[in-house]
Amino acid sequence: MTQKQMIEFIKEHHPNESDTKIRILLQSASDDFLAKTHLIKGSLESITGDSDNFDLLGSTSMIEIDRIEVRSGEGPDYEYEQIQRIGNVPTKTKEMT
Amino acid sequence: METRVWWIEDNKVWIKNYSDGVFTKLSEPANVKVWGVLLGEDFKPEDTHSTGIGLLESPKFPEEFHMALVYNVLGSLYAGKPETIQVAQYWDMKYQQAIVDAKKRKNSIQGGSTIIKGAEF
Repeated sequence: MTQKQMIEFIKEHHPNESDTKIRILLQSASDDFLAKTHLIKGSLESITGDSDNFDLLGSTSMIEIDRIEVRSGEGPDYEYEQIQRIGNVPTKTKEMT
Repeated sequence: METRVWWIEDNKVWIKNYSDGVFTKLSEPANVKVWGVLLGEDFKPEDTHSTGIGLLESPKFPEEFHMALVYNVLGSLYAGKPETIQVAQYWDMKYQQAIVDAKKRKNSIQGGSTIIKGAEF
């Protein structure tokens, strides 16, 4: 179903609503529906750079992380290897920067 | 043996080396690929759009659930008037059912729990 078809269907019920308002409501509906159903899964790539952390949740379209892979190797033969997630956040006494 | 580990803290993703109870900063920048749940693209007013959903384009999740968005919007619009609250509840109910159906479909696609149905002979 295209966006246009969605708007036309909605306007059969609410002919006086603007396309802009309906589009905003469709966006909100889409975010809510996908957040609850997790229908779309995919990957994002990032480089840690000088810092060993990066802002992902909230600043991108990713709302939940399943796994993280780090690139190993160079040139055309590189591959990504999954790294382990830890549940307990390290305390400062155990951490060395 | 030193391994790389990750965790989430303050809404940020952290990656460090870990060995013998000690966490250390990565010695060089790492190329990272993060797999997870994504929100859909933004709806756009143009006919087509390279990074969004144009008027002539569709959301990227299965078409059988596209009407769920329409149900949600109709529920919102009808809820704006006291005299149509019951109509709003009807569309909200259809939206909630669509969520349930989508979760079942997702589980069947991703190899989740299966339902064994009995049969009469």
